[in-house]
Amino acid sequence: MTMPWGASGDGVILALLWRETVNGLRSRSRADLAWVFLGGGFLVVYGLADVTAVLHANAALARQSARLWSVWLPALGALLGVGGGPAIARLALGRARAPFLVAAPISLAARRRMAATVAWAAAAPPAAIVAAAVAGACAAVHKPDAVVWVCAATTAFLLGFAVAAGLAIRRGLRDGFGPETIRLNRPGRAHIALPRVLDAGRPAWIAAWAWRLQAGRLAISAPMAIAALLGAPIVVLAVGASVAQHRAVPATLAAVTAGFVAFAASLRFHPLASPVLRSAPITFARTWFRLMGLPLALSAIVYAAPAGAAVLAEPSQWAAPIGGGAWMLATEGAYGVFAAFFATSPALAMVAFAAALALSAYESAEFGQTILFLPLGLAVWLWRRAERRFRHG
Amino acid sequence: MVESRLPDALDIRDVGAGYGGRRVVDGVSFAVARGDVLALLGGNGSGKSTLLKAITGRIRLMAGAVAIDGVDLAARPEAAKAGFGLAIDPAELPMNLTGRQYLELVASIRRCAPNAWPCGDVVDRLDFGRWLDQPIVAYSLGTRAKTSIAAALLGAPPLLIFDETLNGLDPLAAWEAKAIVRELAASGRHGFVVATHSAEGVPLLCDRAVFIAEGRLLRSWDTPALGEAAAQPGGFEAAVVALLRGMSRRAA
Repeated sequence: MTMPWGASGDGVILALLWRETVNGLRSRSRADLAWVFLGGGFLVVYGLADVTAVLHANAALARQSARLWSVWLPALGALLGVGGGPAIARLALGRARAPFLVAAPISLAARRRMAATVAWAAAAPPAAIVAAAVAGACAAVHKPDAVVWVCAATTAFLLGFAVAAGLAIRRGLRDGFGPETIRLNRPGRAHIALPRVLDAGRPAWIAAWAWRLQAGRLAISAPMAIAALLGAPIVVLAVGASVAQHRAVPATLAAVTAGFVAFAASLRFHPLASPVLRSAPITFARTWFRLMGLPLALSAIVYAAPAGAAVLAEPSQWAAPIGGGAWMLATEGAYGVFAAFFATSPALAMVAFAAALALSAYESAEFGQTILFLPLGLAVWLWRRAERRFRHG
Repeated sequence: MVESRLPDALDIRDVGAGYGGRRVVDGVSFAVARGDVLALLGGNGSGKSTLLKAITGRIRLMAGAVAIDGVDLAARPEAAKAGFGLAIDPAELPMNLTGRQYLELVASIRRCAPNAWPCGDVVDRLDFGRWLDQPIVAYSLGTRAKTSIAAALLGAPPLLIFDETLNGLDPLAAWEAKAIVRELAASGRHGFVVATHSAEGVPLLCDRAVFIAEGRLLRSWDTPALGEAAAQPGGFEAAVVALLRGMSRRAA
C-alpha cells in the first residue's frame, strides 16, 4: 500500500504512523476486521438513525435555541479538539523518540514541524466528521445558514486541537527526546515511594510498572496537583450542601464521581500487551484483578470520606451512599474490561466506554427503563477477546 | 526399578503461524530434549521470530501443535508457559522498574524466590549486581540482556529460549552466559533454543541446529553432522552462508 504523501522531510513521522496503521490492520485476522468494521458500522448507523429521529422530533426547539448553536456547539467542538490534541501529540512524540530519529541530525524546529505535520494530518478526519455531523444536524432540523454553523463548530474544534496539540508537542520536545519513553528522574521533583506491601501480590510490582513509577517512586506532577486542587473544593462543597440540607444525595454524587474519576485516572493496563506477561504462566483474570487492585483501593479511599459525610448528614438516607457505591463498583468493573481490551490506549477505552454508556442512557430514556444490555454485552465480548489475545495472541 | 523418561523440553509438530491470516511459518517440526542446545538459524525475515512467538504463545498457532515439557500449549497455555523461560527482548523489559523489581516480578509469577537459579547466583556470575537497584531504563543493552537472562532462568524451567540474547553481551558476560548454557544442558534437566545470526559460534555452544528459510525448515544438523560441518575452522559458517546465498539467488 503506498502512502498518500512523501516519506521525506516533515512527513517522516506521518509516514511511520501510516505504516504502523497499515501493518496493524494487516496483522489483524479477517474475523477481527469484520467484527470491528461490521459491528462498529452497525452501531454507527444505528446511532445516527436514532439521533436523526430525535432531531426530527425536536426540530422546532433545536432550530430556535440560539444558545445551542452559537455557544454550546462551538464549545463542544473546542472541547473535542482539546481532548484529541494531546493524544495525537503523544503519538507523534512517541515516534519522534524512535532511536533512528533521535540519532539523526535534525534540529528542534524541524522535529516540531514533523510533529505538527502529524497533528494537522490527524486533525483532518475528525474535523471532517465534526463538519459532517453539524451539517447533518442542520439539515435534520432545517436550520438556516448551515454553512455558518458548520464553520463555527469546525473552527472551534481545530482551534482547540491546535492549541492543545501545540502545547503538548512543545512541552514534549522541551522535556527532551531520548530514545526511551521514560526519562530518568528529574532532580528537584518530589517523589513518593510506593510501599512494597501495596504492590506485593502476584505478579509483584505490576502497579509500579503500570503507573510507570520509576523504581517504584511516584513523582508529583503539576497536572496531579491541579486535579487535586480543583477536585477537593468541589467535593467539600457537595459535602457542605449535604450537611446544610440534611440530604445524602449531593455528597453521595460527589463521592461516586470523585471515586470513579480517581479509578479511571489511575487505571493502566499496558502491561497486558507486554511479552513479559503474555509469555508467562499467569492467567488473564489474575493479571486483570491485580491491575485493578490499587485503582480500586484509591477509588474506595476517595469515595469513603464524602460517602461517610453523606451518612452523617442524614443517617436515615444510608441507602443512598451504599447504592451509589455499588453502582460505582459495577461501573468500574465494566470500565476495567474496556480498559483491558484497549490496553495501550486508555483514552480510546474511555471514549468507547463513554459511547456505550451514552447509547445505553439514550435507550433507557427512550424506553423508560434502565437498559444495560449494550454495555454489559460489550463488556462480556471485550473480556473474551482480551483474554484470548492475552493467552494466544 | 523402571526409569520413566522425562518428556522433551519442546516438541513442535507441523507448526504453522503468522499474522492476519497470512502464514509466515509453515510445517515446521522439531524437538528439543533435555540436554539439547538447539541453534535456530535463518536470514532476516525467515520466520525465526514468528516461530519463537508461536512457541511462547504470543501468536496463535494456525496449524500443528506445540508441547512444552509434555504440556500442549493450545490446550493449557498457562501450564505450558510454566515450562519455559524466555529471555525477553531487552527493548521489551519494563523500563521504569529496577532490575531487582523485575526479577521479583518474574519470580512472583513463577512462584519461586527471586534468586532461585539452577546455576548459582546469576547476578554475580554475569556481574551486574551494582545495577540491580537502578531503573532498567538506565541500563546499557548488555546489562538489559543480562537481566533478561537472569529472569529467564528463575525457577529453573526445563526449556530456555534465547532470541539473539547473547549478542549484546560483553566478552566476559558472553563467555559466562555460554558457560551457564553448557552447564545446564550437561545437567540433563534443561533444553535450550538459541536463535542467533552468529553462525561461527554455533558449533562451540550448540549440539544441534536447524535452518529456517521462507518459514520452512530447510536444513537441520544433528550432533554428528554439526561436528562434521565444524571439523574445519569456519566450516559450519560457510555451510550456513552457502544456504543463505542459495536462498538469495532463488529469490532474485
